[in-house]
Amino acid sequence: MKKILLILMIYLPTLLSAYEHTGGVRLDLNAEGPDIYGTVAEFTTTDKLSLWYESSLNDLFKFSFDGSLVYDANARIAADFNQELSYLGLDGEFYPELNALNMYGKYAGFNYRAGRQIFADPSALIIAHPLDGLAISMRLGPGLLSTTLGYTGLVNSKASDITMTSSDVNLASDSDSFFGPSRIIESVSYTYPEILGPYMTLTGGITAQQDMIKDEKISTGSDRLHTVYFQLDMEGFLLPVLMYDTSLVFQTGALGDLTSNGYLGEFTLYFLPGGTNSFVSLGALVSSGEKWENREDYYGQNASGSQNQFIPISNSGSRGYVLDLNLGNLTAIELLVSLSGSNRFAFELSTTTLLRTVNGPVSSSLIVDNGEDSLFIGQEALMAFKFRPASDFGASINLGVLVPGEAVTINEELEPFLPVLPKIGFDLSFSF
Amino acid sequence: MALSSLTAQSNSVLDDFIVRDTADAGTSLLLIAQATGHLDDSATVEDGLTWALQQKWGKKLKNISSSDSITTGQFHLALFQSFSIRGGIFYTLFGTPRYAAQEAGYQEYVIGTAYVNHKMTPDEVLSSLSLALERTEEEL
Repeated sequence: MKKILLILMIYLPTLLSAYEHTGGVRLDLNAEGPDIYGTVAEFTTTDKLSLWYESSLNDLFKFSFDGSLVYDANARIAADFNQELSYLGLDGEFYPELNALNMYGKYAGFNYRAGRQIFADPSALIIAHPLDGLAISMRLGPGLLSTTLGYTGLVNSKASDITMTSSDVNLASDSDSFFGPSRIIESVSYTYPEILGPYMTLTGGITAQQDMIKDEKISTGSDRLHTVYFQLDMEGFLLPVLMYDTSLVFQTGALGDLTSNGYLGEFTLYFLPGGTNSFVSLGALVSSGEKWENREDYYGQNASGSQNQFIPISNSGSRGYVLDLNLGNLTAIELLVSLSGSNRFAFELSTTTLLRTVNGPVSSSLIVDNGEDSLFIGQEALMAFKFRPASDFGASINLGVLVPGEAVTINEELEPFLPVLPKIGFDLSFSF
Repeated sequence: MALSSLTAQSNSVLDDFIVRDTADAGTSLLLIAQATGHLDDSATVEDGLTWALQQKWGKKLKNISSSDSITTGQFHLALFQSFSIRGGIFYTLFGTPRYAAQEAGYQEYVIGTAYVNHKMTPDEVLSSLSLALERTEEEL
């Protein structure tokens, strides 16, 4: 005991003098709407008060914390049979969100991070989500080998963004469930930088998830979904002002006793004129889908036969603003013009063509089996103003409109009010 | 190199400075004062600290002595105030080392996490000072 005290007395002052830290508070305010569900138009506010703290003892031992108290509220307006609008009230709740509580560091070419952390696959099209686990990366040959093993089941159900099955969706609305969908995540990837000079950086990876839901939590008509994703990403410059970014993902897995395969491909070109922050991008994304005959909804309710719908683990890569569509059974073509003279202000104008890949469900409740064969979901236009006049204050305004295609079904009580689907959003952020 | 404006300083002061493990407050503040023309080449390390403590922002440096290691927060507070480098709302309102360190991270004077109490190395001090001089010259 005396020995330990002596060692502490000798080394503690050294350790404390090397202890470095910083931290702060962030306030993020968001309001947007309307989102349409049946006869209801919903306006949402999501407000976060976050604390963050970073500290370092040395290169081997560093600590990171980022936690928030989130207030999420919905105000609903409904149209009745007389086409009169009525206010249904505000429904809100508080919940915790923990994005970082981990130790990290590096030693002899190895980097590690252990604890709660955000994990994203190389393209963030499969998963970008908090998990509890261990991530290790190391230099190997000319590139970087990265591995992650983690568990998502300790993330609060309201903060979780995993909705692969109907059971996951039900869990999010279950007030008795504090924790969200439980998945074990494994990932390994290798990045070979500039394999062809500036023309190509290549990343290959495998990500897998196992559905650990308890039997009693599995919804009727749903089942466990286990998946493995094989991924290849390439990016580089075709010309000094022309950059490309492409991702190919092949998914294989099982939904109960059914096979669950799928694919996703994305290709984006960026035109980057020198001497400015402005750019123009043109991108196309295609993911496989499944027909109505083989599943009742996007989440595989009452699925039958071999399933061919791409299902990402989290919804980080979703497309569309007015209709926020997850990356299954989706084809999207987007042209974006971003004008910015400095990092204080940007004006963005984009248009996105949204289609189903096959005549089946997508992740919006406005796409139902209405007998229409049309794959065209709609044409979206989005205008965004982004301000960051100071390091600790930012704001943005988004104005979106979707001209719906025949695949979209709007309730007949609401339809007279909605020749097009509009959406407006405001964001404010302060850090202090 | 923007630091060329500092070459008229006593070489011995710089020679003594760059071999240190951590940058001392006196020399770091002297370099800022000389780079902004507040002190001349004959000024000493102690003059650097005295000058800083006489400034309006000097009291925010709190009980600092010439031989103390200077922190990221302290150094960038002195640097930004002396070069009239603008920062965020809370930096402008309170002007403390903590907000100066965060501003240093945002404006990329510090790469990686800007720990407020990090004891800066001489290289880090010269790098930040050089960047401030470069950016000031670009604005002229």
